[in-house]
Amino acid sequence: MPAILTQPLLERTVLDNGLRVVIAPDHAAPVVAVAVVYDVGFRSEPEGRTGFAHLFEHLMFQGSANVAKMEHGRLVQGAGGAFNGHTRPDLTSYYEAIPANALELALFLESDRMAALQLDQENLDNQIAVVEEEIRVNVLNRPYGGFPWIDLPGLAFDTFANSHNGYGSFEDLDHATLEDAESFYRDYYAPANAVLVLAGDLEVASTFELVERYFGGIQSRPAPKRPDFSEPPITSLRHRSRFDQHAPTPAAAIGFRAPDPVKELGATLASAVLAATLGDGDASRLRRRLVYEERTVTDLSCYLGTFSDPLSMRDPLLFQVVLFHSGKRSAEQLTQDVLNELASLERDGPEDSELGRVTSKLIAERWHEADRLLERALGIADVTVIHDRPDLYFEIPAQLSKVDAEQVKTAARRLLSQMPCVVEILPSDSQVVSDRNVGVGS
Amino acid sequence: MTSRTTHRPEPPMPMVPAGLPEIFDHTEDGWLRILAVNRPTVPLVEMRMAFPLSQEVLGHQAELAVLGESILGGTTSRDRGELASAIQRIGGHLSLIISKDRAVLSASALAEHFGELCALIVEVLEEPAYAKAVVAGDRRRVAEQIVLARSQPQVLVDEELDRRYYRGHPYRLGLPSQASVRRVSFEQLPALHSAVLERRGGVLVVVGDIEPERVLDEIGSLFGRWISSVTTPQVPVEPLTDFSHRPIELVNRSGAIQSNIRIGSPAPQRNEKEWPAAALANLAFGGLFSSRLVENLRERRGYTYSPHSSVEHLLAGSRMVIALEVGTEVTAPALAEVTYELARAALLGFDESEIEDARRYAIGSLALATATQSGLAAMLATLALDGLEPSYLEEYPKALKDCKPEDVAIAARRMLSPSATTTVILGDVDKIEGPLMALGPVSISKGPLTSTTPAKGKPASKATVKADGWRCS
Repeated sequence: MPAILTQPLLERTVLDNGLRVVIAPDHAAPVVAVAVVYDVGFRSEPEGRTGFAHLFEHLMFQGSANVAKMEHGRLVQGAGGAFNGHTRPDLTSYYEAIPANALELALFLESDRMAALQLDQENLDNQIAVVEEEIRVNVLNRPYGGFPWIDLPGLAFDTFANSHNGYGSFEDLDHATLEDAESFYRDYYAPANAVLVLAGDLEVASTFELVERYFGGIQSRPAPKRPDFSEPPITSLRHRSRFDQHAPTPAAAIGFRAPDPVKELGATLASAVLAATLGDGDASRLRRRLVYEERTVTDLSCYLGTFSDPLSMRDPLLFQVVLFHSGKRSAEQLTQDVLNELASLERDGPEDSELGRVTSKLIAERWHEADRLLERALGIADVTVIHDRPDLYFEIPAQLSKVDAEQVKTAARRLLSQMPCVVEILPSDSQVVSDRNVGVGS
Repeated sequence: MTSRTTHRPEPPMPMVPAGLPEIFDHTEDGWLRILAVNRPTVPLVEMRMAFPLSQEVLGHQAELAVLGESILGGTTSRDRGELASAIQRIGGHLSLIISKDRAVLSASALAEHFGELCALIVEVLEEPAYAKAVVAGDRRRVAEQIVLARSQPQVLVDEELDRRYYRGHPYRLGLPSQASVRRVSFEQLPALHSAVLERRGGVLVVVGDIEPERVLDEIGSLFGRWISSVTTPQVPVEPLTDFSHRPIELVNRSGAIQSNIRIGSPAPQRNEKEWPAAALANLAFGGLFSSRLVENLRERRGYTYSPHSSVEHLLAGSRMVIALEVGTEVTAPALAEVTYELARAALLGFDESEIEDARRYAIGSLALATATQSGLAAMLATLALDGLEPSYLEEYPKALKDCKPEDVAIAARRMLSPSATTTVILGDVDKIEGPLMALGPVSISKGPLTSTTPAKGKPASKATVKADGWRCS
């Protein structure tokens, strides 16, 4: 078994206003990562306002009480740092990687927009236009746009929260108002609904003092009560196909319900091992068979969670197999190929050497991620928001190394007991553009 | 509750990276340069072997594409799956990335398995199988991957810019055609393997949770035979010379709802003394979020999501590229704004505050980029290929600090003048041509050709120059 690093010491506190703070010191390089993660994602946006959580993320860069439009970027990059934000089904994250001496600047910027965001119509209109261009680049003007992250939840889930398109429809985006933004900010951007993680070249006591100075005075507001987004299991086979005028070859995504990462962390990690056994690298079962032996598939991947991030999600989420193929076999036949491989794993389990190498690789990937300070800070923040347990971030490698063949068999059995959902992309020379073609969910 | 601090801290002084890490620099057997750094942040080890591509190798795009896939297709003692299993078992990865001017063998593993990683790499270097059946499958898959890649408008427009900007130079070649890939024979690959990987000028970098002495021991004992079997040095790639200005070129993509705009212009190489000032000019123009390009095109006008400029350093020459994807209906207005910003920067330079922001970012981002094992390994390999010493990591921030606004203005005049640029736009020509004609002469090519073989040196698309709006295709 690979060596497991001694777990770095994490320091944590909760401010009076409810903001959870975690510090992960690491003095290897004079850099610091700051992550502020809010417990709201696109599952929480209201009906008729698809895409609002992501649009709102853009608005968070448009200025606050003491920071003008464009200043956030200018100050962070002008200090030698990098910044960005992203919106996920359950989380919205804001982050900076900066030289260690710019820590205070990052705390000032994050606290100012948590305390007093400035919203105005001109900036809202401008960012609606920017987001629509983003959607054109990433969804509408390219092949396989939004596949499968928009398509598959649209088929596999029935409630608005879980099934709608997180990028949003242009119609909904165009109707977004300042009042929507104000209430979204009030409801979801309270300190008590956020986690602040600081990683890197930090001194613990003085960092806590700085955090208290900038964030301690932010007015307390109650954290929203999170609705239960769970859905009953799928009881019948679901299949949907759509034409994609840009796609040169067909593709298919097969989705199953994955275990609840909060209630069943062990089963979630076993499912991650199962996914890697099936699809990670040239030694994986599906790649060996479908890509190299039968040559029916050009490329494939297999992962848990909308963006391959099961630890940043709550229930429900999907286990998915995504295949880009030549069309020689139908999506139905490829689904059967995947089910056959699952059946073989359910029956015999992975071989010992196979299980060992798959978990070794997964553990090495965790360390690769941890070596990138920003990803480490975000990873700690994610498990703090979802699991309320920052230490979990560093415990995952050891837990992965304990996954055994029986657990992988059980994980496979659980998928086989379900009815899979299959989304199929068909290449099309026709100029047909429909709502479904542009990836707008049901 | 305490009152909230809303005091804005002063921008911190730029930090010069806290001194170079200790770098072991060793030349093995008189030619293979080995750089090793002990950085035990995580229990991993990262390795990069980088090789410049020679003039003769560069013409063989199709063969290179298949080589990149088939090199991991098995050795004389293991098939592809067994090789991949062995790499996975040590928590490793191994890939060969062949780009426009270099081949980089990239590898990593859990640090405790460094010796096994080296042994596997040597096996791949010395005993690749290139079996007939494996290559046959790989070339078909590579052809399929090329079809997928070329369905992306951003890939197509990059190819079109290269074809036009690098006219007469091997760098003009984009992805090979499907047909040329399908013609690659397994018999061609062993010789190409040697030409790409067994030549002088290469560098081997190891960064990670490992003592440099151990790196040198393992490499000396395992790579010895490979290192001493060096082949005749090959001809380095010829430098770029032709930078003549061309009219705006439109490439048709019927029905496109967005236009992909690419603008290229010559930039100094990293080893030239003009480079630090040019780096600042690029950042202030379009490399930062607070740059003029983003401020105008995105945050003021909402024309585009992610406009940016960047500098690519290739061995034969460096190039600044401006990239933006804009709605079809605002294509010409967007290009007008970019041209205005270029001209303004070229004529008037930048304000001191803009230069200061760029300077701090350039210095800080270098520290961030080299803070990880993989980032430092990649950086050291890149510098070595560029003929720069690791001390560049200290000298460059100092040179940035010494840049004066006049230096940046001179760099901007050279790099950002609209008259120095080559512009290619991929979009719906019927809709964008008329308005674009207001900005200057445009030439039109019918569309990206997906089955030409540009390796033969023929222009891949026929373009007609005209300024009057009459299209004769």
